[in-house]
Amino acid sequence: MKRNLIFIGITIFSLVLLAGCAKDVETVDITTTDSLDPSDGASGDEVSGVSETDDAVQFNIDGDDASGTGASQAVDPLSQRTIYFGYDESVVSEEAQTIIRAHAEVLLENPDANLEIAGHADERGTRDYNLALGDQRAAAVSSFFQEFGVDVSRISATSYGEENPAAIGSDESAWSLNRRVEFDY
Amino acid sequence: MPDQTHKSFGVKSALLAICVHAAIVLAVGVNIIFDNVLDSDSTSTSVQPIQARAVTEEAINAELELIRQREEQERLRILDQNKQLEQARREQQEAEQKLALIESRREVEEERIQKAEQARQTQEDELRELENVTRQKQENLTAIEKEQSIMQTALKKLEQEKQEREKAAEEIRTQELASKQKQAEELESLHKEKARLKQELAQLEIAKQERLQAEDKRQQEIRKEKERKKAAAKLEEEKKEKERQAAIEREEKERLAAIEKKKRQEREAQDKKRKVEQAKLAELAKAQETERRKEEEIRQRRIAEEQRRNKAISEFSKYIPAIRNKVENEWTVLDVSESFKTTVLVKIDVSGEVMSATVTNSSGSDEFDRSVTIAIRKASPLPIPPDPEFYNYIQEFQFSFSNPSS
Amino acid sequence: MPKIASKFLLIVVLLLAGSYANAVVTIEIDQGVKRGIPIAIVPFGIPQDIDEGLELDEVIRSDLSRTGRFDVKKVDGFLQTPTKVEDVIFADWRLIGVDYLVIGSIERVDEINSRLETRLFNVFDEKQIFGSQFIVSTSNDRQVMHRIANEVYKRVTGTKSSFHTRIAYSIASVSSENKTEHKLVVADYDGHNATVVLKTDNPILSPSWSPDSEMITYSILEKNQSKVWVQKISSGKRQVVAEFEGQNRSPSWSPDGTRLAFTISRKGNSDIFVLTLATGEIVQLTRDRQIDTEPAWSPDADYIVFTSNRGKGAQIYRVRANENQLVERMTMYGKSNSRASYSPSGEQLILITDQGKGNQVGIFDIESKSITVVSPTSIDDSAVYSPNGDMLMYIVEGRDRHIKILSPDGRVQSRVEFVEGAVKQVAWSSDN
Repeated sequence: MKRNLIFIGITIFSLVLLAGCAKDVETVDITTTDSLDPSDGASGDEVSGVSETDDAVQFNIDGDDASGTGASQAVDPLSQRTIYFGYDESVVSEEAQTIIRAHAEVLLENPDANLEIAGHADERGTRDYNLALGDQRAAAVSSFFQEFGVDVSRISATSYGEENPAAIGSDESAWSLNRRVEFDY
Repeated sequence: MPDQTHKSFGVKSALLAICVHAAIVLAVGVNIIFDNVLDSDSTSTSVQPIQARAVTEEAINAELELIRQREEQERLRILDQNKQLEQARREQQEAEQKLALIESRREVEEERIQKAEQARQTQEDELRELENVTRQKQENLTAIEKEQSIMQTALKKLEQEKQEREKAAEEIRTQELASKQKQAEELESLHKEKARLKQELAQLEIAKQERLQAEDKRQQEIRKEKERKKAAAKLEEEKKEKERQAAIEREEKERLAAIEKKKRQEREAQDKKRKVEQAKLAELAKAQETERRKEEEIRQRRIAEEQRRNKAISEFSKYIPAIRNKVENEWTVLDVSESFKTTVLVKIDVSGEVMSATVTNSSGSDEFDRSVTIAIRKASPLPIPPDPEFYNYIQEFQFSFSNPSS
Repeated sequence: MPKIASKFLLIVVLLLAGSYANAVVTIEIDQGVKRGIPIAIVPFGIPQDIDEGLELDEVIRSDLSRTGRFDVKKVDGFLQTPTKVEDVIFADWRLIGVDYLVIGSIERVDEINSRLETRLFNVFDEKQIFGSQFIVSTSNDRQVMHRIANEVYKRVTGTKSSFHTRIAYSIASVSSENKTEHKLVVADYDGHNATVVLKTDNPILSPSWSPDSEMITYSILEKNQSKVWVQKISSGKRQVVAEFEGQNRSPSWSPDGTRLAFTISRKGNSDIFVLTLATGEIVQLTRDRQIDTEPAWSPDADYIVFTSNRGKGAQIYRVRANENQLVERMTMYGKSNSRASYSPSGEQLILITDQGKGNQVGIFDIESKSITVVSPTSIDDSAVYSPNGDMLMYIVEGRDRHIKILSPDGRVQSRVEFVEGAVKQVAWSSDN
């Protein structure tokens, strides 16, 4: 997929960029995919699109403080139990799939554990739509767990929409943290 | 000022009417008097009966010869009398001829009246033509300015006026007709008189016959009784005869004099009548002329008035966009989904100040109507031409409001 | 001399006719200005022993102002403050550019009650348009003011207003034990007389009034399953009406009150259903594999509009509620459009639209398919029409969450008072 190619390219670019100072890059994909998504055909002076790109760079720096163990997470996907999404999207990125695969393997080794998945959305968009969007995101993550061998009977998925934000704020830095699926077992 | 003109015009026509009426009354009066004269004359034409009387026999034989001579003389005298009768008849014919002459004069007069009538008709034709022209003018005006319905009203009024004028002419005509009828009546009475004269002549004829017959009878009686009674009777007869002849002659003379007098009076009456007739015609012509002048004056005034009004209207029309603009700026539209239409009649004063704004055709919504009248009130004073002349013609107009379709 | 008289008359008529000839000049007006109708509400006359009511007339001023249809004049600009008809000098009011005038006076009846007499005038023809009397007490004074405002609005604009209606809103607030509390509040449309009708630990979502305004339906987001409830406001009694497999959400009461449209979400796929309240039966209206949610009925109940991302991004669709369940897309423009509901006329939808400047309140015209953004903010949610379409209401999200009232053209904004907590969604009652 074209988007994946872009993602990989940007990820590599980011890795190179961050290699020297050993910074975390985990969430860059979210905003870039969003800003590059041409689906809406919005006009060129799209304010939010531009700001999102800016935020993405900013977020790389801020994100450092938000998740202190970022460097190790990049190495160990098991330390990561949150999958992030683009605006109004429920597409699970390849990196997220790596994380899901790692956790699926743990679950397969522990047959007694049950998996709880919760979908969330940022505050933009309407509340009911965001609940449905959280459903969709949770279902997307759930389907990958199933693909990696976890039985559906062990999984329960729910959505909180925009009701339980991870970050408070009305800017992209908060929004990107809130567009997520959290899972636990 | 039109009012004064009208008053004077009215007075003139009133005077004319009085004159005409007076003339008619005069004519009728003369006629009646004349008729009375004729009537009193006709009663004095009765014939006296002949009376025979007996005389002594002594003189009869001696005077037989003389009687014969007298008889001869008598015959001659009768002949002479016949001649006189003939002459009376001739005079009668002459009178008839004179009557015919009067009649022919009357005909001439009638012709004159007819001519006057024709002249009047021509005038009427002219009036009709004027009417046509006016109608054409009216059509033109209608085409140019449909909304000026008043023009039509004015023309209608003019037509009405003309009808009235025609009615007036008709009245005059009726009067004329009446006078003509009176003349005819007079003529008829003349004819009657002529017939009466004829009858009198016939009576004279009869009387003569009777007298001749009586004479024959007496002569036969005298001859039968021979000599005795002849002379005295004849003498007496002579005397009587003389007296009788004298009486006849006198009567005849009186009658002729009466006829002559009557004819003279008739002539005088005719003259008078003709004069009155002529005066009447002159008066009529004068009245018609005045009428025509008046009419022309009204027409001119109306045209001038129209021009002034048209100018005022066109001047006012130039301000309509400004008025509309001002009212639209003051109209706060109501946000309604229905389409409303309200007509408001607005009265302004000479400065454009709105004196009243009355809904003449409601939209059905009190609120919409109110929004409209308030807008007009707030737009007061409305922009109007600086020349107050417009106000003579436009003191009110209407607005038709419809809500913007949005 | 009748002839002379008639001639004279004829001329007079002719001359008169000249001046009447142009009575028919007609000027057509089909343009006006859209602006507030200038109105003055004079402070009501109050006996000295009553101290309340000083702000009562302000209720009317606020009501009328909120619709954007009135230019309510400030009291300090008044040349006179009459309280009785005989004191009114209309010329003074025309002078300050007022079209309509409201005066009133209050007299004490007994310890609790007062009598309020109020009148509306047309300042230009100087006539009273209406006058009425009310018995006022502290328990109903604001209601009476709303009624007067309703009457003034109707007599001036010819349309109904919604000043005497209520709203319901859901909020989250942090309790003294530092625990998040979720509440459902019912209040006057302006926020006064707020009453908490439900308090729970879980988020209360999608409140929707019954057409008789006596009940409210909502969804409570519980950890395992969201359910749809119906609650009677007067008694507080409530019951679950939908707990079908999956998440039961977004209820919307049908115009006839017998049915609810709602969403069931299973395995990430939300679809629209209709529940018949009397029988508990449900009918599925949409069947695609994407999100279909936020159903709302058309006033004639023929259609249900909903939000779906079956195309790219969220857009508004409609489905026939009764017949063939045919789905049509309605919104064509904008990054996203969601949570639509019908205007009282059925001709517009109010929705949340993203036209590139964030989430804003938009009015979608069904016939022209155009969207007009009416909110000045860009983190908006839960927009609704007032029951008579004279106002709009929505929630501004972000740090200072609050409920805003908008005039339909968006020009006039005001804030609903006494909303304490993070307001989530709002619903406007019917007008009864």
